[in-house]
Amino acid sequence: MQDEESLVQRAQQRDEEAFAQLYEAHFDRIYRYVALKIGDRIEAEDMTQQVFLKALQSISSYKWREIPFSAWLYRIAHNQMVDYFRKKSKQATVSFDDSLATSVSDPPRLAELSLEIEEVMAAVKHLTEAQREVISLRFSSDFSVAEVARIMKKSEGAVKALQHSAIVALRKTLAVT
Amino acid sequence: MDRAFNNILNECLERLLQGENVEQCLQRYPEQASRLKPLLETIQMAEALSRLQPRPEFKARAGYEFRRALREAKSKRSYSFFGWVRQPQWATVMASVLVFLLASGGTVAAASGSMPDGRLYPVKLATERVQLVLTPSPVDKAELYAKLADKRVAEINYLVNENKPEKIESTVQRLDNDLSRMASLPLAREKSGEVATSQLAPTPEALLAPAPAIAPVPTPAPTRVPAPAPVTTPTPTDDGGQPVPPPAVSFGEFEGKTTIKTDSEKSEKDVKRGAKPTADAEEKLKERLEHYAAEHESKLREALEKAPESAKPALRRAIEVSEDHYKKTISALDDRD
Repeated sequence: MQDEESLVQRAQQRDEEAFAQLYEAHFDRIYRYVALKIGDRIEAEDMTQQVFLKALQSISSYKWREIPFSAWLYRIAHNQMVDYFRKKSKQATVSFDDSLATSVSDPPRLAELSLEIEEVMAAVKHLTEAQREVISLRFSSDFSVAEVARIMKKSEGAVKALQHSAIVALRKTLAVT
Repeated sequence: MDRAFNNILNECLERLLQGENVEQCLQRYPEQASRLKPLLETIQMAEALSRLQPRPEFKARAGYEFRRALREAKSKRSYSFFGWVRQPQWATVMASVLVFLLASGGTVAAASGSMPDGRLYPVKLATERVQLVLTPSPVDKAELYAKLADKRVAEINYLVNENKPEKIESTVQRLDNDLSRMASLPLAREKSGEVATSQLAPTPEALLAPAPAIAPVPTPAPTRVPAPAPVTTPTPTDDGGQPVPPPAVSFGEFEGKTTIKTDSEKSEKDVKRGAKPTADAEEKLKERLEHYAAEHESKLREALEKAPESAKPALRRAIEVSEDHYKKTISALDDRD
Protein backbone atom coordinates (compact mmCIF):
# COMPACT_ATOMS: atom_id res chain seq x y z
CA MET A 1 0.00 0.00 0.00
CA GLN A 2 1.18 3.48 -0.77
CA ASP A 3 2.30 5.72 2.01
CA GLU A 4 -0.78 5.99 4.17
CA GLU A 5 -0.47 9.71 4.68
CA SER A 6 -0.61 10.40 0.96
CA LEU A 7 -3.51 7.99 0.59
CA VAL A 8 -5.42 9.80 3.31
CA GLN A 9 -4.74 13.18 1.73
CA ARG A 10 -5.96 11.90 -1.62
CA ALA A 11 -9.00 10.36 0.03
CA GLN A 12 -9.79 13.74 1.56
CA GLN A 13 -9.82 15.09 -1.99
CA ARG A 14 -12.44 12.44 -2.79
CA ASP A 15 -10.00 10.23 -4.67
CA GLU A 16 -12.07 7.09 -4.95
CA GLU A 17 -9.16 4.74 -5.45
CA ALA A 18 -7.24 6.09 -2.46
CA PHE A 19 -10.21 5.66 -0.13
CA ALA A 20 -10.85 2.21 -1.55
CA GLN A 21 -7.27 1.22 -0.68
CA LEU A 22 -7.69 2.49 2.86
CA TYR A 23 -10.92 0.53 3.08
CA GLU A 24 -9.23 -2.69 1.95
CA ALA A 25 -6.33 -2.19 4.31
CA HIS A 26 -8.39 -1.66 7.44
CA PHE A 27 -11.66 -3.49 6.87
CA ASP A 28 -10.78 -6.88 8.34
CA ARG A 29 -9.15 -5.36 11.42
CA ILE A 30 -12.10 -3.17 12.16
CA TYR A 31 -14.42 -6.13 11.64
CA ARG A 32 -12.49 -8.30 14.10
CA TYR A 33 -12.44 -5.53 16.65
CA VAL A 34 -16.16 -4.92 16.38
CA ALA A 35 -17.04 -8.64 16.28
CA LEU A 36 -15.04 -9.28 19.40
CA LYS A 37 -16.61 -6.41 21.23
CA ILE A 38 -20.23 -7.15 20.43
CA GLY A 39 -20.13 -10.93 19.96
CA ASP A 40 -22.48 -10.94 16.97
CA ARG A 41 -21.20 -11.63 13.45
CA ILE A 42 -24.11 -10.15 11.50
CA GLU A 43 -24.24 -7.00 13.57
CA ALA A 44 -20.47 -6.74 13.33
CA GLU A 45 -20.56 -6.85 9.54
CA ASP A 46 -23.12 -4.07 9.24
CA MET A 47 -21.46 -2.03 11.94
CA THR A 48 -18.09 -2.33 10.23
CA GLN A 49 -19.61 -0.98 7.05
CA GLN A 50 -21.17 1.88 9.03
CA VAL A 51 -17.75 2.73 10.44
CA PHE A 52 -16.36 3.24 6.96
CA LEU A 53 -19.39 5.15 5.74
CA LYS A 54 -19.05 7.42 8.75
CA ALA A 55 -15.36 7.81 7.98
CA LEU A 56 -16.26 8.78 4.44
CA GLN A 57 -18.57 11.51 5.75
CA SER A 58 -16.06 12.83 8.24
CA ILE A 59 -12.73 12.38 6.52
CA SER A 60 -12.41 16.05 5.67
CA SER A 61 -12.23 16.78 9.40
CA TYR A 62 -9.41 14.28 10.04
CA LYS A 63 -5.94 15.73 10.59
CA TRP A 64 -3.01 13.40 10.03
CA ARG A 65 -0.78 15.04 12.63
CA GLU A 66 -3.12 14.43 15.52
CA ILE A 67 -3.62 10.65 15.47
CA PRO A 68 -2.89 7.90 12.98
CA PHE A 69 -5.64 7.11 10.51
CA SER A 70 -6.17 3.64 11.97
CA ALA A 71 -6.65 5.09 15.42
CA TRP A 72 -9.17 7.55 14.04
CA LEU A 73 -11.10 4.66 12.48
CA TYR A 74 -11.10 2.82 15.77
CA ARG A 75 -12.46 5.83 17.57
CA ILE A 76 -15.32 5.89 15.09
CA ALA A 77 -15.87 2.16 15.66
CA HIS A 78 -15.75 2.64 19.40
CA ASN A 79 -18.33 5.42 19.25
CA GLN A 80 -20.57 3.28 17.06
CA MET A 81 -20.43 0.55 19.64
CA VAL A 82 -21.22 2.92 22.47
CA ASP A 83 -24.41 3.76 20.58
CA TYR A 84 -25.00 0.10 19.85
CA PHE A 85 -24.83 -0.95 23.46
CA ARG A 86 -27.10 1.89 24.39
CA LYS A 87 -29.76 0.80 21.99
CA LYS A 88 -29.09 -2.91 22.25
CA SER A 89 -32.08 -5.17 21.92
CA LYS A 90 -32.19 -8.94 22.25
CA GLN A 91 -31.23 -10.67 19.05
CA ALA A 92 -30.14 -14.20 18.27
CA THR A 93 -26.40 -14.37 18.23
CA VAL A 94 -24.99 -16.19 15.22
CA SER A 95 -22.06 -18.41 15.82
CA PHE A 96 -18.74 -17.47 14.39
CA ASP A 97 -18.38 -20.66 12.37
CA ASP A 98 -19.30 -19.00 9.10
CA SER A 99 -16.72 -16.31 9.65
CA LEU A 100 -13.90 -18.81 9.47
CA ALA A 101 -14.65 -20.13 6.01
CA THR A 102 -11.73 -18.55 4.22
CA SER A 103 -9.16 -18.45 6.96
CA VAL A 104 -8.90 -22.25 7.42
CA SER A 105 -9.38 -24.79 4.69
CA ASP A 106 -9.00 -28.00 6.70
CA PRO A 107 -12.45 -28.93 8.09
CA PRO A 108 -11.27 -30.66 11.27
CA ARG A 109 -8.93 -27.77 12.00
CA LEU A 110 -11.78 -25.40 11.19
CA ALA A 111 -14.00 -27.10 13.74
CA GLU A 112 -11.24 -27.00 16.32
CA LEU A 113 -10.51 -23.36 15.63
CA SER A 114 -14.17 -22.55 15.82
CA LEU A 115 -14.39 -24.10 19.27
CA GLU A 116 -11.29 -22.25 20.40
CA ILE A 117 -12.68 -18.96 19.21
CA GLU A 118 -16.07 -19.62 20.77
CA GLU A 119 -14.38 -20.44 24.03
CA VAL A 120 -12.22 -17.34 23.99
CA MET A 121 -15.16 -15.18 22.93
CA ALA A 122 -17.16 -16.41 25.88
CA ALA A 123 -14.24 -15.70 28.20
CA VAL A 124 -13.70 -12.22 26.79
CA LYS A 125 -17.26 -11.31 27.75
CA HIS A 126 -16.28 -11.63 31.40
CA LEU A 127 -13.59 -8.98 31.16
CA THR A 128 -14.06 -5.39 32.13
CA GLU A 129 -14.74 -2.90 29.38
CA ALA A 130 -11.17 -1.62 29.37
CA GLN A 131 -9.67 -5.13 29.44
CA ARG A 132 -11.92 -6.16 26.55
CA GLU A 133 -10.84 -3.12 24.60
CA VAL A 134 -7.16 -3.96 25.02
CA ILE A 135 -7.66 -7.61 24.05
CA SER A 136 -9.73 -6.61 21.03
CA LEU A 137 -7.15 -4.15 19.81
CA ARG A 138 -4.11 -6.30 20.54
CA PHE A 139 -5.36 -9.67 19.37
CA SER A 140 -7.91 -8.98 16.69
CA SER A 141 -6.26 -6.00 15.10
CA ASP A 142 -2.52 -6.46 15.77
CA PHE A 143 -2.01 -3.00 17.16
CA SER A 144 1.14 -2.29 19.09
CA VAL A 145 0.97 -1.10 22.69
CA ALA A 146 1.83 2.40 21.54
CA GLU A 147 -1.04 2.39 19.05
CA VAL A 148 -3.47 0.99 21.59
CA ALA A 149 -2.38 3.66 24.05
CA ARG A 150 -3.13 6.39 21.50
CA ILE A 151 -6.52 4.90 20.67
CA MET A 152 -7.50 4.43 24.30
CA LYS A 153 -5.90 7.72 25.38
CA LYS A 154 -3.91 5.96 28.07
CA SER A 155 -0.23 5.65 28.81
CA GLU A 156 1.66 2.65 27.48
CA GLY A 157 2.25 1.52 31.05
CA ALA A 158 -1.46 1.59 31.74
CA VAL A 159 -2.16 -0.44 28.60
CA LYS A 160 0.43 -3.07 29.58
CA ALA A 161 -1.09 -3.30 33.04
CA LEU A 162 -4.57 -3.73 31.57
CA GLN A 163 -3.20 -6.31 29.18
CA HIS A 164 -1.70 -8.25 32.06
CA SER A 165 -4.90 -8.16 34.12
CA ALA A 166 -6.95 -9.16 31.07
CA ILE A 167 -4.77 -12.19 30.39
CA VAL A 168 -4.92 -13.23 34.03
CA ALA A 169 -8.73 -12.92 33.95
CA LEU A 170 -8.93 -14.89 30.71
CA ARG A 171 -6.76 -17.62 32.16
CA LYS A 172 -9.06 -17.98 35.13
CA THR A 173 -12.11 -18.25 32.89
CA LEU A 174 -10.47 -20.59 30.37
CA ALA A 175 -8.91 -22.66 33.18
CA VAL A 176 -5.66 -23.22 31.32
CA THR A 177 -3.40 -25.56 33.30
CA MET B 1 1.46 -6.16 39.06
CA ASP B 2 4.92 -4.70 38.61
CA ARG B 3 5.98 -2.68 35.61
CA ALA B 4 8.99 -4.86 34.81
CA PHE B 5 6.88 -7.99 34.57
CA ASN B 6 4.30 -6.18 32.46
CA ASN B 7 7.06 -5.23 30.03
CA ILE B 8 8.35 -8.80 29.86
CA LEU B 9 4.85 -10.15 29.36
CA ASN B 10 4.23 -7.63 26.61
CA GLU B 11 7.46 -8.53 24.83
CA CYS B 12 6.61 -12.23 25.01
CA LEU B 13 3.11 -11.55 23.73
CA GLU B 14 4.52 -9.75 20.70
CA ARG B 15 6.95 -12.58 20.04
CA LEU B 16 4.15 -15.13 20.23
CA LEU B 17 2.06 -13.08 17.80
CA GLN B 18 5.03 -13.05 15.45
CA GLY B 19 5.32 -16.83 15.49
CA GLU B 20 7.60 -17.76 18.37
CA ASN B 21 6.45 -20.54 20.69
CA VAL B 22 6.04 -20.49 24.45
CA GLU B 23 9.27 -22.41 25.12
CA GLN B 24 11.36 -19.91 23.17
CA CYS B 25 9.91 -17.06 25.22
CA LEU B 26 10.47 -18.84 28.52
CA GLN B 27 14.12 -19.46 27.63
CA ARG B 28 14.64 -15.70 27.40
CA TYR B 29 13.30 -15.17 30.92
CA PRO B 30 13.92 -18.36 32.91
CA GLU B 31 13.53 -16.62 36.27
CA GLN B 32 9.99 -15.59 35.33
CA ALA B 33 9.09 -18.89 33.64
CA SER B 34 6.70 -20.20 36.28
CA ARG B 35 4.73 -16.94 36.27
CA LEU B 36 4.90 -16.47 32.51
CA LYS B 37 4.02 -19.97 31.31
CA PRO B 38 0.28 -20.02 32.10
CA LEU B 39 -0.17 -16.51 30.79
CA LEU B 40 1.66 -17.28 27.54
CA GLU B 41 -0.48 -20.38 27.04
CA THR B 42 -3.57 -18.21 27.47
CA ILE B 43 -2.16 -15.78 24.91
CA GLN B 44 -1.76 -18.68 22.48
CA MET B 45 -5.45 -19.48 22.83
CA ALA B 46 -6.49 -15.84 22.41
CA GLU B 47 -4.28 -15.57 19.35
CA ALA B 48 -6.92 -17.58 17.44
CA LEU B 49 -9.02 -14.42 17.40
CA SER B 50 -6.67 -12.91 14.84
CA ARG B 51 -7.94 -15.46 12.30
CA LEU B 52 -11.49 -14.19 12.47
CA GLN B 53 -12.59 -12.75 9.12
CA PRO B 54 -15.81 -11.41 7.66
CA ARG B 55 -17.73 -13.63 5.23
CA PRO B 56 -16.40 -13.25 1.66
CA GLU B 57 -19.86 -12.63 0.23
CA PHE B 58 -20.51 -9.89 2.77
CA LYS B 59 -17.15 -8.30 2.05
CA ALA B 60 -17.82 -8.32 -1.70
CA ARG B 61 -21.23 -6.73 -1.25
CA ALA B 62 -19.93 -4.22 1.27
CA GLY B 63 -17.09 -3.25 -1.06
CA TYR B 64 -19.53 -2.67 -3.89
CA GLU B 65 -21.79 -0.54 -1.72
CA PHE B 66 -18.86 1.42 -0.37
CA ARG B 67 -17.60 2.30 -3.84
CA ARG B 68 -21.10 3.41 -4.72
CA ALA B 69 -21.17 5.62 -1.63
CA LEU B 70 -17.78 7.02 -2.63
CA ARG B 71 -19.10 8.04 -6.02
CA GLU B 72 -22.23 9.58 -4.53
CA ALA B 73 -20.15 11.53 -2.05
CA LYS B 74 -17.99 12.78 -4.87
CA SER B 75 -20.94 13.93 -6.97
CA LYS B 76 -22.58 15.77 -4.06
CA ARG B 77 -19.63 18.12 -3.90
CA SER B 78 -20.35 19.33 -7.43
CA TYR B 79 -22.02 22.68 -7.87
CA SER B 80 -25.69 23.11 -8.62
CA PHE B 81 -27.03 23.09 -12.15
CA PHE B 82 -27.35 26.78 -12.43
CA GLY B 83 -24.80 28.34 -10.42
CA TRP B 84 -21.58 27.92 -9.54
CA VAL B 85 -23.07 28.59 -6.13
CA ARG B 86 -24.80 26.18 -3.81
CA GLN B 87 -28.50 26.76 -3.39
CA PRO B 88 -31.39 25.02 -1.70
CA GLN B 89 -32.58 21.92 -3.50
CA TRP B 90 -36.08 23.27 -4.08
CA ALA B 91 -34.65 26.35 -5.70
CA THR B 92 -32.62 24.20 -8.06
CA VAL B 93 -35.70 22.22 -9.02
CA MET B 94 -37.78 25.36 -9.60
CA ALA B 95 -34.97 26.97 -11.56
CA SER B 96 -34.76 23.84 -13.70
CA VAL B 97 -38.50 24.02 -14.39
CA LEU B 98 -38.33 27.70 -15.30
CA VAL B 99 -35.45 27.22 -17.70
CA PHE B 100 -37.26 24.30 -19.20
CA LEU B 101 -40.29 26.47 -19.81
CA LEU B 102 -38.54 29.63 -20.90
CA ALA B 103 -35.81 28.45 -23.20
CA SER B 104 -36.04 27.13 -26.70
CA GLY B 105 -33.83 25.00 -28.85
CA GLY B 106 -32.96 21.41 -29.49
CA THR B 107 -30.48 20.56 -26.77
CA VAL B 108 -32.92 18.53 -24.74
CA ALA B 109 -34.04 16.64 -27.82
CA ALA B 110 -30.40 16.00 -28.66
CA ALA B 111 -29.68 14.82 -25.13
CA SER B 112 -32.61 12.41 -24.97
CA GLY B 113 -30.63 9.70 -26.73
CA SER B 114 -27.43 10.33 -24.82
CA MET B 115 -25.70 7.47 -23.05
CA PRO B 116 -23.83 7.51 -19.71
CA ASP B 117 -20.53 8.06 -21.49
CA GLY B 118 -21.94 10.98 -23.48
CA ARG B 119 -21.38 14.67 -22.88
CA LEU B 120 -25.08 15.50 -22.82
CA TYR B 121 -26.02 12.67 -20.46
CA PRO B 122 -26.33 15.06 -17.47
CA VAL B 123 -28.78 17.13 -19.51
CA LYS B 124 -30.81 13.99 -20.17
CA LEU B 125 -30.95 13.22 -16.45
CA ALA B 126 -31.85 16.82 -15.59
CA THR B 127 -34.67 16.76 -18.13
CA GLU B 128 -36.01 13.56 -16.61
CA ARG B 129 -36.09 15.20 -13.18
CA VAL B 130 -38.07 18.12 -14.58
CA GLN B 131 -40.51 15.69 -16.19
CA LEU B 132 -41.05 14.05 -12.81
CA VAL B 133 -41.71 17.39 -11.12
CA LEU B 134 -44.34 18.20 -13.71
CA THR B 135 -46.07 14.82 -13.27
CA PRO B 136 -47.95 15.02 -9.98
CA SER B 137 -50.34 12.08 -10.41
CA PRO B 138 -48.99 8.91 -8.78
CA VAL B 139 -50.36 6.79 -11.60
CA ASP B 140 -48.74 8.93 -14.30
CA LYS B 141 -45.58 9.16 -12.28
CA ALA B 142 -45.43 5.38 -11.96
CA GLU B 143 -45.56 5.04 -15.72
CA LEU B 144 -42.90 7.71 -16.12
CA TYR B 145 -40.60 5.93 -13.67
CA ALA B 146 -41.08 2.72 -15.63
CA LYS B 147 -40.15 4.56 -18.84
CA LEU B 148 -37.08 5.96 -17.14
CA ALA B 149 -36.20 2.46 -15.95
CA ASP B 150 -36.54 1.34 -19.55
CA LYS B 151 -33.96 3.96 -20.52
CA ARG B 152 -31.64 2.78 -17.74
CA VAL B 153 -31.88 -0.81 -18.96
CA ALA B 154 -31.07 0.34 -22.50
CA GLU B 155 -28.09 2.27 -21.13
CA ILE B 156 -26.86 -0.78 -19.22
CA ASN B 157 -27.06 -2.89 -22.35
CA TYR B 158 -25.20 -0.22 -24.27
CA LEU B 159 -22.42 -0.13 -21.66
CA VAL B 160 -22.08 -3.91 -21.75
CA ASN B 161 -21.95 -3.95 -25.55
CA GLU B 162 -19.42 -1.10 -25.58
CA ASN B 163 -17.38 -2.86 -22.88
CA LYS B 164 -17.59 0.03 -20.42
CA PRO B 165 -18.24 -1.75 -17.15
CA GLU B 166 -17.01 1.13 -15.00
CA LYS B 167 -20.23 3.08 -15.57
CA ILE B 168 -22.58 0.15 -15.08
CA GLU B 169 -22.70 0.42 -11.28
CA SER B 170 -23.83 4.04 -11.30
CA THR B 171 -26.43 3.29 -13.97
CA VAL B 172 -27.74 0.37 -11.93
CA GLN B 173 -27.99 2.70 -8.95
CA ARG B 174 -30.10 5.11 -10.98
CA LEU B 175 -32.30 2.20 -12.03
CA ASP B 176 -32.67 1.20 -8.39
CA ASN B 177 -33.52 4.79 -7.42
CA ASP B 178 -36.19 5.19 -10.11
CA LEU B 179 -37.85 1.85 -9.43
CA SER B 180 -37.66 2.35 -5.69
CA ARG B 181 -39.46 5.68 -6.03
CA MET B 182 -42.02 4.06 -8.29
CA ALA B 183 -42.63 1.34 -5.70
CA SER B 184 -43.02 3.95 -2.97
CA LEU B 185 -45.73 5.91 -4.78
CA PRO B 186 -49.04 6.05 -2.92
CA LEU B 187 -50.87 3.96 -5.49
CA ALA B 188 -52.75 2.01 -2.88
CA ARG B 189 -54.24 5.09 -1.27
CA GLU B 190 -55.93 6.59 -4.30
CA LYS B 191 -59.23 4.77 -4.50
CA SER B 192 -61.68 4.84 -7.42
CA GLY B 193 -64.22 7.58 -7.09
CA GLU B 194 -61.88 10.02 -5.43
CA VAL B 195 -60.58 12.98 -7.35
CA ALA B 196 -57.11 12.24 -8.65
CA THR B 197 -54.35 14.71 -8.12
CA SER B 198 -53.82 14.86 -11.88
CA GLN B 199 -57.16 16.62 -12.09
CA LEU B 200 -55.88 19.33 -9.79
CA ALA B 201 -52.57 19.99 -11.47
CA PRO B 202 -52.33 21.24 -15.01
CA THR B 203 -50.70 19.14 -17.70
CA PRO B 204 -47.42 20.36 -19.17
CA GLU B 205 -49.21 21.56 -22.32
CA ALA B 206 -51.82 23.43 -20.28
CA LEU B 207 -49.08 25.27 -18.43
CA LEU B 208 -47.82 26.74 -21.67
CA ALA B 209 -50.98 27.24 -23.71
CA PRO B 210 -51.46 29.45 -25.59
CA ALA B 211 -47.92 29.80 -26.91
CA PRO B 212 -45.69 31.70 -26.40
CA ALA B 213 -47.18 32.91 -23.13
CA ILE B 214 -45.87 31.08 -20.11
CA ALA B 215 -48.22 30.14 -17.33
CA PRO B 216 -46.97 30.41 -13.80
CA VAL B 217 -45.58 27.20 -12.44
CA PRO B 218 -47.67 25.97 -9.53
CA THR B 219 -45.53 26.65 -6.52
CA PRO B 220 -46.64 23.69 -4.42
CA ALA B 221 -45.54 21.33 -7.16
CA PRO B 222 -42.26 20.30 -5.57
CA THR B 223 -43.89 19.56 -2.24
CA ARG B 224 -46.47 17.35 -3.89
CA VAL B 225 -43.79 14.98 -4.91
CA PRO B 226 -44.40 11.98 -2.74
CA ALA B 227 -41.81 10.37 -0.52
CA PRO B 228 -39.47 8.58 -0.18
CA ALA B 229 -36.85 10.77 -1.79
CA PRO B 230 -36.94 14.34 -2.95
CA VAL B 231 -36.32 14.86 -6.64
CA THR B 232 -32.77 15.93 -7.14
CA THR B 233 -31.37 17.63 -10.12
CA PRO B 234 -28.14 15.97 -11.11
CA THR B 235 -25.32 18.30 -11.85
CA PRO B 236 -24.41 18.21 -15.47
CA THR B 237 -20.69 18.19 -16.06
CA ASP B 238 -18.76 17.26 -19.13
CA ASP B 239 -16.07 14.65 -19.37
CA GLY B 240 -13.52 17.08 -17.97
CA GLY B 241 -15.64 17.73 -14.93
CA GLN B 242 -16.64 21.22 -16.01
CA PRO B 243 -20.27 22.25 -15.53
CA VAL B 244 -22.30 22.14 -18.72
CA PRO B 245 -24.10 25.45 -19.27
CA PRO B 246 -27.89 25.46 -19.02
CA PRO B 247 -29.38 23.93 -22.10
CA ALA B 248 -31.49 25.70 -24.60
CA VAL B 249 -34.63 23.72 -24.11
CA SER B 250 -37.53 23.22 -26.38
CA PHE B 251 -40.70 22.34 -24.58
CA GLY B 252 -42.45 19.31 -25.82
CA GLU B 253 -39.68 16.87 -25.14
CA PHE B 254 -42.40 14.77 -23.54
CA GLU B 255 -43.13 11.91 -25.88
CA GLY B 256 -40.60 13.12 -28.43
CA LYS B 257 -42.60 16.08 -29.73
CA THR B 258 -40.79 19.32 -30.48
CA THR B 259 -43.59 21.90 -30.76
CA ILE B 260 -45.88 23.54 -28.27
CA LYS B 261 -49.51 22.86 -28.95
CA THR B 262 -52.12 25.59 -28.71
CA ASP B 263 -55.57 24.86 -27.42
CA SER B 264 -56.95 24.48 -30.92
CA GLU B 265 -54.24 22.03 -31.80
CA LYS B 266 -54.78 19.84 -28.77
CA SER B 267 -56.28 16.51 -29.49
CA GLU B 268 -59.15 15.03 -27.62
CA LYS B 269 -56.63 12.77 -26.01
CA ASP B 270 -54.68 15.75 -24.66
CA VAL B 271 -57.81 17.25 -23.13
CA LYS B 272 -58.70 13.99 -21.50
CA ARG B 273 -55.24 13.73 -20.01
CA GLY B 274 -56.25 16.00 -17.17
CA ALA B 275 -59.24 13.79 -16.35
CA LYS B 276 -59.49 11.57 -13.33
CA PRO B 277 -57.69 8.27 -13.82
CA THR B 278 -60.18 5.48 -14.15
CA ALA B 279 -59.96 1.87 -13.16
CA ASP B 280 -59.31 1.27 -16.84
CA ALA B 281 -56.25 3.54 -16.75
CA GLU B 282 -54.95 1.71 -13.68
CA GLU B 283 -55.48 -1.63 -15.36
CA LYS B 284 -53.57 -0.40 -18.39
CA LEU B 285 -50.77 0.83 -16.15
CA LYS B 286 -50.60 -2.55 -14.48
CA GLU B 287 -50.39 -4.26 -17.87
CA ARG B 288 -47.62 -1.91 -18.98
CA LEU B 289 -45.70 -2.45 -15.76
CA GLU B 290 -45.99 -6.20 -16.14
CA HIS B 291 -44.72 -5.86 -19.68
CA TYR B 292 -41.81 -3.65 -18.57
CA ALA B 293 -40.98 -6.01 -15.71
CA ALA B 294 -40.72 -8.99 -18.03
CA GLU B 295 -38.84 -7.09 -20.71
CA HIS B 296 -36.34 -5.55 -18.31
CA GLU B 297 -35.62 -8.86 -16.66
CA SER B 298 -35.04 -10.46 -20.05
CA LYS B 299 -32.72 -7.66 -21.23
CA LEU B 300 -30.79 -7.55 -18.00
CA ARG B 301 -30.25 -11.31 -18.02
CA GLU B 302 -29.05 -11.05 -21.58
CA ALA B 303 -26.61 -8.33 -20.50
CA LEU B 304 -25.48 -10.48 -17.56
CA GLU B 305 -24.44 -13.26 -19.92
CA LYS B 306 -22.32 -10.92 -22.04
CA ALA B 307 -20.90 -8.77 -19.24
CA PRO B 308 -17.34 -9.08 -17.88
CA GLU B 309 -16.96 -10.60 -14.41
CA SER B 310 -16.38 -7.23 -12.79
CA ALA B 311 -19.82 -6.03 -13.91
CA LYS B 312 -21.77 -9.14 -12.98
CA PRO B 313 -22.52 -8.23 -9.32
CA ALA B 314 -24.05 -4.94 -10.44
CA LEU B 315 -26.15 -6.66 -13.09
CA ARG B 316 -27.37 -9.29 -10.68
CA ARG B 317 -28.39 -6.49 -8.37
CA ALA B 318 -30.18 -4.76 -11.23
CA ILE B 319 -32.23 -7.90 -11.89
CA GLU B 320 -33.02 -8.25 -8.20
CA VAL B 321 -34.14 -4.64 -7.66
CA SER B 322 -36.14 -4.65 -10.87
CA GLU B 323 -38.06 -7.76 -9.82
CA ASP B 324 -38.65 -6.50 -6.29
CA HIS B 325 -39.83 -3.00 -7.15
CA TYR B 326 -42.09 -4.02 -10.03
CA LYS B 327 -43.65 -6.70 -7.86
CA LYS B 328 -44.30 -4.19 -5.11
CA THR B 329 -45.80 -1.61 -7.46
CA ILE B 330 -48.04 -4.09 -9.24
CA SER B 331 -49.15 -5.42 -5.89
CA ALA B 332 -50.10 -1.89 -4.80
CA LEU B 333 -52.21 -1.54 -7.94
CA ASP B 334 -53.89 -4.86 -7.15
CA ASP B 335 -54.80 -3.49 -3.71
CA ARG B 336 -56.76 -0.71 -5.34
CA ASP B 337 -59.14 -3.13 -7.01
